[in-house]
Amino acid sequence: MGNEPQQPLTESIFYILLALHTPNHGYGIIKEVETLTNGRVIMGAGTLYGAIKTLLKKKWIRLYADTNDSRNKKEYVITPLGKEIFSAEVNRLEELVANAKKKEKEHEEV
Amino acid sequence: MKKFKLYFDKDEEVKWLNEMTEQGWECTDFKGGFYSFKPCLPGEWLYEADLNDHGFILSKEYRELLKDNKINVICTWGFWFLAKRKAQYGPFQLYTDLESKILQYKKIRNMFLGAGLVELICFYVEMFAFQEMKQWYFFVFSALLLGLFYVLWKAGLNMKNKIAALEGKEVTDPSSIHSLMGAVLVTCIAMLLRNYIPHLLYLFILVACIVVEIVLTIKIKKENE
Repeated sequence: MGNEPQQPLTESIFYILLALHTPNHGYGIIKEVETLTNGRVIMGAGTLYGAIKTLLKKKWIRLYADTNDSRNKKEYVITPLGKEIFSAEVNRLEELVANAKKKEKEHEEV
Repeated sequence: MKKFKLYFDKDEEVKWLNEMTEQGWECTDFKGGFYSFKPCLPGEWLYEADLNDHGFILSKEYRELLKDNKINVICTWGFWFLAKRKAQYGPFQLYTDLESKILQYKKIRNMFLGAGLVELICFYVEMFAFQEMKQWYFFVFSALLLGLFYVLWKAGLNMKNKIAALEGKEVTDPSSIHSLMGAVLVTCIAMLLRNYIPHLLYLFILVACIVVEIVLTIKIKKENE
């Protein structure tokens, strides 16, 4: 992990990483993100499939186990590296929101 | 019911399939340009087309994911697959955010441009064969390969324009005819240089290409002013 600043994560990637803090399979991830966002983000199968491939390559997620489930569905889970990337992103977003709220307050006080 | 259509733009193809369903026809198969249809309720289905994830094969994993999302795979053909889903499940899009859409268009673009280049190389080989053997059928093969190159390259440039539009950038690429003329031009020069004797045929085509290139360049310059 270098010292280069991390690129912002896209919304889909962010939510997939969040969902995979617990092991899940493709469709399960789509459903969980739909619930988390109150139906705002309904990921297409192509978007999800492509994102999973990218995240596996980056080693931010890994295959969990595809033998436990009787229907042999592949499940994925976030890796320690993925968790690192994810918390860095959460910190970045918190900074954004905190600054926005601060400016808002300053404006109100004027 | 069967209909014959050749599409090189997946968005146009999907648009047409959706229109067919509006008229009460459900697509059940596709083979080499022939679409098979059976009657259905108007607007019952929505369609999508996409590249297989493993070249000529659509993997079991992707198939399972599609099935979970209530998407039916109609068939695969070459590098592509066709899919449909009942309209009652809502709007049907395989790519729902800008980034993944652009990434997929890039894959399609690279596929078309790559395939086009392969055809171009085959064209040069056939042209050399024609020059060596002087048999008329080498010239016919060359013409067919050049045509194939043109069609594939045009499809690739079309994707490039779509990507530019999605990225909010200007579309500045030369037309596919430009590429075609350029390819023929280079070929004629190569053929002439090989023998150092002007072959009237090559000389004629060479001059015609130069003229067309000049006209196209002026036209593009005018459009960009």
